[in-house]
Amino acid sequence: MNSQEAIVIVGATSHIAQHVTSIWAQESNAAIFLIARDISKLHPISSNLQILNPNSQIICKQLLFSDIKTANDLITQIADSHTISKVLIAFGTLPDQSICQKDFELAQNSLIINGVLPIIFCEIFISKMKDVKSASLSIIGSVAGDRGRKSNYFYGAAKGMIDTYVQGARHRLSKSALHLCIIKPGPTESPMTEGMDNGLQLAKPASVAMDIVKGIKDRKAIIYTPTKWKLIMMIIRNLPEFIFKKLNI
Amino acid sequence: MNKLSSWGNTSKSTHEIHNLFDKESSKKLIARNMNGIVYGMGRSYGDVCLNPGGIAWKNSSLDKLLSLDEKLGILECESGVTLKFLQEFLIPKGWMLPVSPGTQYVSVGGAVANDIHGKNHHQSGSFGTHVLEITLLRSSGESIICSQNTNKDWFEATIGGIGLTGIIYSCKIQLRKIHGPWLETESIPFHNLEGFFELSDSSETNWEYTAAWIDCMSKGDTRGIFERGRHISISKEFKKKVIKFPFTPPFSLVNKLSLRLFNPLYFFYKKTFSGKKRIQHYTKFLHPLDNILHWNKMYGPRGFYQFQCVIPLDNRKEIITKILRLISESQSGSFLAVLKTFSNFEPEGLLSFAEPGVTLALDFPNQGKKTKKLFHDLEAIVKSSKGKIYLAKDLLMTRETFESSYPGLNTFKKFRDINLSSQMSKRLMGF
Repeated sequence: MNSQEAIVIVGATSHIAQHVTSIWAQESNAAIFLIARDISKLHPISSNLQILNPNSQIICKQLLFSDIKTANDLITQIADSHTISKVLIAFGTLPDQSICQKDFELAQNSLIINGVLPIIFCEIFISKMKDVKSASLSIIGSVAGDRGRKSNYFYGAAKGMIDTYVQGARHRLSKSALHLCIIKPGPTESPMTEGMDNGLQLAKPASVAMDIVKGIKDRKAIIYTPTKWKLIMMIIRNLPEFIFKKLNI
Repeated sequence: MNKLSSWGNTSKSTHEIHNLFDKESSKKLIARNMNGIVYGMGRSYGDVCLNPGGIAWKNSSLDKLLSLDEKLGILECESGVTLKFLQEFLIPKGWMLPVSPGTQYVSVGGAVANDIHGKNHHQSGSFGTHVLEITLLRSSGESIICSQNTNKDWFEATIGGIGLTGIIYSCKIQLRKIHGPWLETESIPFHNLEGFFELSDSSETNWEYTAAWIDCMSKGDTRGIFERGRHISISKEFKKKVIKFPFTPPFSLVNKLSLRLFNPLYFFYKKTFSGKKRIQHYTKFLHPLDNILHWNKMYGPRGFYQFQCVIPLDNRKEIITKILRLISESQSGSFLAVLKTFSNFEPEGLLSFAEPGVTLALDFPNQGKKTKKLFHDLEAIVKSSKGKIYLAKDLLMTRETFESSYPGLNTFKKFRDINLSSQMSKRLMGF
């Protein structure tokens, strides 16, 4: 077992991830690995973290998420030199549903980037962390994954895939010390929701991050944030199909 | 499209809102040649941050610290970082922002764009005095780095430039060293303006923070409480208590009746501290209203206006007396009435407000025509006394008064970004 603790953030430019990382950076002196598609975007994020905690080591890595072999090598390298205590898998895109219905390549990519790849990353991390005591592995799903809706079912299907995967993995890990959780944020202010005008009040990433950090500390299996979405989704999930079909959501 | 309002809450207007997430995406957004203005924390009172029917770029996601030299006390951060965050982060490290206004819920970009001042203007000048460098993003695609040494003209136009010279992406600020968050304070009652000026003048050297609360309802001589404070090296525990104003009442809770009740009570309550030195946390002394979140709701659904002017030092007593008499006769005003002297520091930017003189700030519940008439009369006094009205608070000043009281305006116009405008710029500059 390696002594130096590490936190790994995959999709570290995600705004929710940035805020979660800021909180974690101030809580411990762990080495923080920021993994993103475009390393140039990580510079201000890593400066910020370094100032928030001058004692922590911030390491930026560029990675093409679809390159699973390189991803596996990188994670193996981190796990060989550190004890990975916390992981957040946060990458994803919000595709235009109407375009996905015509552009099947976009639909396929969306399913891969939002569903398949996060699952594979999760599985790689499980293989490295399953024996680490009090470690946590968190993956960002979405309330959109709880029930498919006409306005975003490609995105929802991918996130729903993560949900089912996490259920199974958690079942498998029930006797392991590793805590695995899925985070289901409601619509949150971020580049992903930029220009979205569906009348919904967007949650602030800073408050979403606080909910996530607290939920992980409390070792919750599912974190709805803002918490009102737990109730909203319970209602939506349980609506009879004949009523659901009439809703314009 | 979403509705935005400023702190005065006199109207809610529709804006197309875009968030500024990082430098590159901000550059792209501003280069779209669409007319917009940056909206920070929405704590300016009037229309400086509003652009009804147009674009508002919110800077709250530009929230990163970019560098910190703990030896020299130099911090660089993105413009959406709030003063509250900075104070809480810096104070345990022995540093503090050298200037902060009545509220900490202000973004760094807003502090620069309005060149805000605080209770220590007489010793520290305005926020702009301590800005070392600004990175400005222009709709032409250019990034301009400006300071006192490089692109000085851009620097002077941007400090206090009400957000019209470009998007302020980041700022480098010189911090001030402190021993801790505690202040030694005194509250001293005065019974007329001579009393205020004597206290203010005699406190300038030894007291870093000074300001006075005045009873705007007092007839004849103006009474008030002069408050002064200075940093002290002491270690104490502090428990923060913040309450939230729960709802917007159907009418303003600030009215003739409540003022008649509150003002004498407050005066006599504060008088009990007279002659006593108190130790207060900086948040309680410098930002008392921050302890009540959404306090602006107490003015009801019609909101309120704030009048803040600076009157030159010559004839200061006569002019302030005239203004206060007019306010007292109007039987309007509010509990929130502040008098403070500025001295020593000339304005930093071309459109900066703070300059040697005395400043008076007062809230007025929005009573429609009656309030507008009062503001019109107050503006006339300010104009004839060669004073000026603070743009960060203004919603009603005429273009004519603006042009005559801001001598740097013509030079400033050369530095405007043609794709940036606000309700205020349209009202006072034509576009």
